[in-house]
Amino acid sequence: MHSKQSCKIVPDATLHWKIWDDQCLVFNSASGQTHLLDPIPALLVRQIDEGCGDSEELFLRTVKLLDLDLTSHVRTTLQQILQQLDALGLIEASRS
Amino acid sequence: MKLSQINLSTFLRDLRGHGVWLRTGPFQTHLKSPINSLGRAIHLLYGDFVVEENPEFADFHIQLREPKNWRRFYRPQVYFYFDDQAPFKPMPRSHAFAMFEWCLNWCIESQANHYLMMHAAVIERGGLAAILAAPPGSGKSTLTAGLVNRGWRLLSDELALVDPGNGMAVPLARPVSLKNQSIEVIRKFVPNAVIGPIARDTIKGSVAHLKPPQDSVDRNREGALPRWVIFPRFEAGAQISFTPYPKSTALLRLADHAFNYSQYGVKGFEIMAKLIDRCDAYEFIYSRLDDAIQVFDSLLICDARTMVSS
Repeated sequence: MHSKQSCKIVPDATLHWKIWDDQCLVFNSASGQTHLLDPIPALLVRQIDEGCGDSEELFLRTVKLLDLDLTSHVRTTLQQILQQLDALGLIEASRS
Repeated sequence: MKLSQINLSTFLRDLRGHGVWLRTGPFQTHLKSPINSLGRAIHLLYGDFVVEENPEFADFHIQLREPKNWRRFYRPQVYFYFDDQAPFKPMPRSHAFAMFEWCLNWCIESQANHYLMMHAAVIERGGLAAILAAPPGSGKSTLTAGLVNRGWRLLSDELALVDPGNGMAVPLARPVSLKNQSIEVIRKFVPNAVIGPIARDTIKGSVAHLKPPQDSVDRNREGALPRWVIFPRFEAGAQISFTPYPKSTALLRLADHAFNYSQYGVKGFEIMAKLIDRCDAYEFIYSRLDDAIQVFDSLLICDARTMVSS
């Protein structure tokens, strides 16, 4: 059984995006900070921003978009990315 | 009236008395000082600038004057006053002109938040501007001094001002600050260069200022659309290199050079993103000014070719 997480964009934040080639910039209105995100973290944040808050659903949608299998390695990588996004103050991830 | 049309003794008297109103780009500065060496340097380096008689408004009211104590006679010092307040410690009187320049930069950086401001030089040719952003000591001013004496127009040496309304770079041509070896490099590169007094042993070493080209001063109301963002670096003996730079990283790097990017919030991000969108970004390493100028001139040729082929 995998531990599920609930993810949301940090309260009171609006995210503003600018995408050039495979690099994504996101401006967080709550912190006033601009972040440079690689494609996969950007994909996760965008889906969370669009309301996909359940980590299982998020991971399944992400691997489908990337045409990958949700192996344990991929799952661990995606979980680590969520932790990093949480540490950056872009999302809040909590056990559900 | 241009400052050079006023004779030196009248100018020094006015500077000592009711002060002078100096127009630099969009800013009007009311300056008073009894320090003749400062007045002479201003008269020399700001000769092509417009001075007005008692205009209704000045953006900055500044004074540079000596303390009224024994320090006037022993290692004389100079204080900078902004609206009659002295925000900084005094400097040696021999640094008065450098202090004037640094403090005028400070006035603009701290007051002119109606522009997005970056620590960067801006030059223009053919109506297109290149923003040169680099930390102090990177050879940015030397490169700027070289370029503006080989056909490029100076918009600014220290402060890039971007109008948030239309994204144009706003001219603020003023004397170009040269440090240490750059002073001699530019003397050799521009034999007829007018360079002001050298302030020695400043926090930045020896500092002197190059008089801006007259054409740049005369066109000090003519903005230009940014077309290139360049991160220059001087490296002695290095092969010249001009490498395309990713736009996303360019935005972050340029934001690092901005004084008020965070104050603008999301609008700052949008202005910066629009600016970067229409610019090509490059990292530029050079060791010889002649080579650097060839590279910059080729930018225009490439741009013209792109315009013709598209």
